Amino acid sequence: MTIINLYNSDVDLESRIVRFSKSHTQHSRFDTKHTHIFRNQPSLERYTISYSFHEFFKSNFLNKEYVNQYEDRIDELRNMGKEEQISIRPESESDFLSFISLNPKLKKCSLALLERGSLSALWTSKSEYRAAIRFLGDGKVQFTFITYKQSDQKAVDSIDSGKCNIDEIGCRLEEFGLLFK
Amino acid sequence: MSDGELPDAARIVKYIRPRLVGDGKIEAEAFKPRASDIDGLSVNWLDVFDPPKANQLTEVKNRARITMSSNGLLAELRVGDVRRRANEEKDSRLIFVHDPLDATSIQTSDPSHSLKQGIPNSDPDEVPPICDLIADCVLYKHETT
Repeated sequence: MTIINLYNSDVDLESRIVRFSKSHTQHSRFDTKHTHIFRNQPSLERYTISYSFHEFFKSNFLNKEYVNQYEDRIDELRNMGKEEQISIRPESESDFLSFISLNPKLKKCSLALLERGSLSALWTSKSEYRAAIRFLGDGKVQFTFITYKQSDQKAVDSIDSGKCNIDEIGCRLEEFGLLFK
Repeated sequence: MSDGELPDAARIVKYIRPRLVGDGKIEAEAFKPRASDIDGLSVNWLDVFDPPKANQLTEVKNRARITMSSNGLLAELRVGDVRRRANEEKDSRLIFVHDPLDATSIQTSDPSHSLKQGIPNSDPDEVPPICDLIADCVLYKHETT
């Protein structure tokens, strides 16, 4: 079962998912996994459609140049996690992939696996900034954004950190302004 | 700085697990004590061993009491750099304490073993921002093999 959480009223995204599924449910090369889409509102509305999760994101989102790389990296982390009996939390993986796909203008990040199974995305430019977003699942993220002074690259200019909902992190990224291509 | 604390010029290395290294970048959780790190986060004081650095690193690897993955790495930092960065986080005071380990019946001694203390207690899902500041202090990354 694949779960996609929509954390805002993204009507366009929902309609795209439904149109895609209707055009592909009869196609033999797609598997018949059922996918539940939840809208993160107090009263949940549930849609059940059949499509291939990976094929949908590859064909419908602009960040597809990175999708394969992220998938490979997640598989690599999954294997690394086995050595320490750490499993990637499915909700964290889902949140990360949704976030990346819905923010196509972001620079490519590196990925790590935290001890409790959450995925962590990291962007760094040694003399300019460090930005980390940790996907805790259930639509929650923990973030740390650091900038360094241009005049003294060993001195911190600003630190912003905390927890928020995943639909709020976009605004913080816009304010930070350093992670876009 | 009290007796037993490492000087600012001290160079230390910290083992980083493979899952915390992506594209050569180190995730800050590597510098956060785990629940089992009751006395602090273990690091190794390189300068305890004779130079050159290759010899110092070999000593650390040979005396390690944990299994180091070939895909992990040893991150080298200078204590003074970390202390200065910690000052950016006004609520934090990092302490580096020399904690040499004696030999046991099955393990060699480790005179380089030290402890990094003072990372604030936090939600287990949260990586304190000071850990990100520390991660940016890494000077060199060394292979474990």
